[in-house]
Amino acid sequence: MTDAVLSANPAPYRVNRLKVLKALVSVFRTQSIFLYQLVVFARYPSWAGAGMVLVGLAVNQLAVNIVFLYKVLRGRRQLIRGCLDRMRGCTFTRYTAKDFLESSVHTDIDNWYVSRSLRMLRMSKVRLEHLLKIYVVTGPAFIEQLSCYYDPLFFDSYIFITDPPEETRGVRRFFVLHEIGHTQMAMATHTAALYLWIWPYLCFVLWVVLTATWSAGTLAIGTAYLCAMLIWWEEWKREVADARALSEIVADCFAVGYLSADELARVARNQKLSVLLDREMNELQNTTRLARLRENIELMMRGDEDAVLERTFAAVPEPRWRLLLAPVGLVALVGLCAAPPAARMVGWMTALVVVLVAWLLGLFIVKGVYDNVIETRLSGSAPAGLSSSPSPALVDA
Amino acid sequence: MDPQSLVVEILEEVFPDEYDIAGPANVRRLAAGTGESVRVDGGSSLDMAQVLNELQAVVVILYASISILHALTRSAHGPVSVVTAQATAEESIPEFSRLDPKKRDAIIDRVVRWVNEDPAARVPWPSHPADELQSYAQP
Repeated sequence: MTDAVLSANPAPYRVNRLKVLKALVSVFRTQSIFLYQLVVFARYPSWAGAGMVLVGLAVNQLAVNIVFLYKVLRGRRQLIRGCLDRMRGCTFTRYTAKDFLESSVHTDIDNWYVSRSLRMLRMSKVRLEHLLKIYVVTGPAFIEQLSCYYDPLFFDSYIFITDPPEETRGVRRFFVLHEIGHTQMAMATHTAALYLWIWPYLCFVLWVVLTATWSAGTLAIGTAYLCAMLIWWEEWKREVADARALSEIVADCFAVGYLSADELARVARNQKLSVLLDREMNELQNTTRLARLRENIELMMRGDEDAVLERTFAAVPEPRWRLLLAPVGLVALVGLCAAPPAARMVGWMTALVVVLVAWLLGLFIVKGVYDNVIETRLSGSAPAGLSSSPSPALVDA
Repeated sequence: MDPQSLVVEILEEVFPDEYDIAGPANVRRLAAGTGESVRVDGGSSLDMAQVLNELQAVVVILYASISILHALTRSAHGPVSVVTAQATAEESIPEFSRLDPKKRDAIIDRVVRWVNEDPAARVPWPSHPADELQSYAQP
């Protein structure tokens, strides 16, 4: 993963068009309203139809972002209630990734994971330090877990560990890199659909109920769509179950890729790694994960870094695009059966957009409050009523 | 060196795998015996609870060994041999016998060196709040 390794493998990157097409199908799974209005517009081209396409796109995006923001808020709440509340009386010392990583490793992660991803969003000035906050927890309690909280929308990550950088060596460094791996590889292991559950489909059903003129045809296809939702729900549950194991395997792979030869040997020698079971994974998933970790360490020690990446990412399942074609096809069918859109509907639906924007802004305000509480708790001046603990201190290392 | 530092040192030398996983800070807290364990919820987490539990059990055995061997040197008014120490520890602490023989030897070797160095300078009884220790703590 270092520059030297990458430059030694100058194989040109080629876009696989079929994979792009499959990815588009996957994206359309969360853009049902927009797709539906496009089909209606193609059938009945009009100004009202064009307006409904734009409004549909806006509603789609707003609905998806509202769901995402709820996930972010849930994560923030878990961080406060499930983590900071339980660490009352502890002191949090803030460090940056630079304190734990060698310069070359830090530059590599910063360039290849952070800057590259965010450059697409015109946010190339954002660095790893802005997104990743590492806290060393000290205090009377001993911490049973190293933990990591990251969100899918703002890429904010909090890692809580027990030892400062000077005491983080060998297996401990593997653990820290593993947690950093979770934050940097979240987009690869957790697709948007995973966070969205079947909300996009439910939003589409609601949209059709609000806007469509019902006929026997739309009713039949709508019923088929509702039945298909059960299949997608099952598919979502399977993806969630796989994602946890996959996320651990990929984070292990990330960590193994950045360990020195000595550290790899130390991790390989450690017999106790096999008892680090994840309670949220079943026995088979835990066994598979440990086997993959041992295999990756062995490959890295032989210098076969490419094999580590290839084998690990071969385990990342592609979306089952044939299954995903079903919602896209059914949406198109509902669109074909729909009546031409009325101009007054554009007005009503624009009002809906305004409501959704207000809703989204409200959620942003709540997020701001949560962020403030988190920063206050981590920086030591907890407002009365939130914590009765002695004030923890933030020390910028 | 105080008993607490001795316990940390033994854990680092004799139980390197567990020490590496738990980390120096957690091991120091375990040796101090004052910490409550904290489990967090949500996010992704690397669960070390089993390793910490194993270490906690070892810490209790170590304090018991130190206490008993320290008492032995005081009553013998002189250095104690490794063989005597081993026999005393195995007889007095049933849990000690269940440890891996190599680890037992390493522990006894290190504790005997410690109690023989300067018994007069040692604190009378290493203190550890664990309930399990109370049965061993009285001479």
